[in-house]
Amino acid sequence: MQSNAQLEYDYSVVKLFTFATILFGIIGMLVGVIIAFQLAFPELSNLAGEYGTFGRLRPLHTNGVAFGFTLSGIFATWYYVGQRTLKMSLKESKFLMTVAKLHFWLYFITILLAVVTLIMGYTTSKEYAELEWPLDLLIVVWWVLWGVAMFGMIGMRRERAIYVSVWYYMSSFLAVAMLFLFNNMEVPTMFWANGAPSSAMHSISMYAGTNDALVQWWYGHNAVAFVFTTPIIGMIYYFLPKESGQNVFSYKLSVLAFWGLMFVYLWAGGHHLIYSTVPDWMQTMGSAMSIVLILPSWGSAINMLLTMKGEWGQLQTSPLIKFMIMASTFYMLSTIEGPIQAIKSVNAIAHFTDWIPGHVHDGTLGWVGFMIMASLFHMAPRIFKKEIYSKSLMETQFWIQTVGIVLYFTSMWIAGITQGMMWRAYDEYGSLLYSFIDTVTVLHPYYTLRGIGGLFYLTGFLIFAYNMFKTATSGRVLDKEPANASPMAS
Amino acid sequence: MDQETLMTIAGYGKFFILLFVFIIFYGYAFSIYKRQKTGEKDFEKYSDLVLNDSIDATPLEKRDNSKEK
Repeated sequence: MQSNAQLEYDYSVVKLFTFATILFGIIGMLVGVIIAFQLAFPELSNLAGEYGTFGRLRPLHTNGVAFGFTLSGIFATWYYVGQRTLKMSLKESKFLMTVAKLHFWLYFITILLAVVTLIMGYTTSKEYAELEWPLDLLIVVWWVLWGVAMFGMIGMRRERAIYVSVWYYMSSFLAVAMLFLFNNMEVPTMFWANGAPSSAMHSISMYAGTNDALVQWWYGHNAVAFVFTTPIIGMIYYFLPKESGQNVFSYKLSVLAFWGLMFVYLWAGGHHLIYSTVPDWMQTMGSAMSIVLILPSWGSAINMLLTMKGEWGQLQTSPLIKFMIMASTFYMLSTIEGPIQAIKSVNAIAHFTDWIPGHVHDGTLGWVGFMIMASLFHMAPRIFKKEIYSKSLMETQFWIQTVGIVLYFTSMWIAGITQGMMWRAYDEYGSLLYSFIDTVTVLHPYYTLRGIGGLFYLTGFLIFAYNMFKTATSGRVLDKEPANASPMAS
Repeated sequence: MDQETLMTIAGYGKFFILLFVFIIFYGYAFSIYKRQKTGEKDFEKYSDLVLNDSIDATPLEKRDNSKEK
């Protein structure tokens, strides 16, 4: 190891992933807005032949925002938070630096290939695991590279204690590795086709029927847990205290919430299969564990809000704090809404309705999106050594996006409950009162509102991208690294 | 085994699993708070890892194998 005196943190990989976060965010969210309007105005599906249909674009949206935007944000912040809390620099190890760069480039190529293959219609048709087997193999390679970089950095650390944020990133690495491998057990058909015509890009799942559904939702729900939740909690445990200059309200609570989340989350996936063919005890367990999940989730969220105790004035002065507190609030909303939907009697109405995407989006737009953008804003003055370009643009972005999220989830709440009630309504002879098309007609205005909400959020994201670009290229140069509150030009 | 016996076993199973998880978590919470109170281990000091995170800051708990100069 070099002497600390000449050493500084290396942000080259952080910058690469920051760029990817913004790029994939724009692509993923743009496609999201397009498909939202396609649902309201189906004729929009015919604008680009087979390539513009809802079926092709929907997986592009989900993969783009989950594995493009969110994962890039997780990797960018990992290489930042990891170095800083472990007190080691990537500069100290050529090996780890090479691994980290290789991690980025392989990841970047995979996501670009994902965009191309999904548009071309190559899909396993398993939700959130649509990518075909050659891409899955590529994913395994860079996921392992991330692990090598992560545990290599931990191995080289100067600080013996490992901060709780790093635990969250570690859990994300380990859990996704396990989930991904099991759910993507697939058989490429060309090797067993015995001369029958078969595409090199086609595979079938190793599981069938109910087993396939079970593994799929064990994976699907825990993708929410270990992509949209734990690493994002890792971010807020670092960036909120750092930006506000406050110690975490209770470190003990953060440790307790961590283990609670780890134990409980993995059992909750069964709530996706309530009233299906999976064994009843699994449905009950999924439902019960979902309710237990409120405790560790709110444990972290309340811990974050209490971290601001006595410092609420910062909410007025710093848009960055505003983003993070709003993120934490949306996390609370989302983690109370999810368990409510997992209660069997509520699920009878909510399942398969628009309330579900409504729930997903107040979590992803409000919690994940806000937290990633806030983290990138916090890192910008440190990695570019420049002042944030515009505070007023941040304020504008905050309000446009907040209104967008509210439009999104309120319209989906109304749409979902309306839909659920109409599907179940019957007359005195037990005949259904409505046909499917009746619900579609009623839901049209809410679908339009959802599209508008999404458009607001996308507009805010473009403002964010512009602000970040201007910060990197023409922000005022800082002579020293800010300790806490990020400097921003008005 | 008939259906009723299976349901009974499942019921008891659920109860004891919940009891087990309950004891583990509350036991862990109790142990953390007790260790903090008796001064055996100060958990709250780890919050400083965020605020003192520059590379030349003195580590909170230095590793024995790090070659600090």
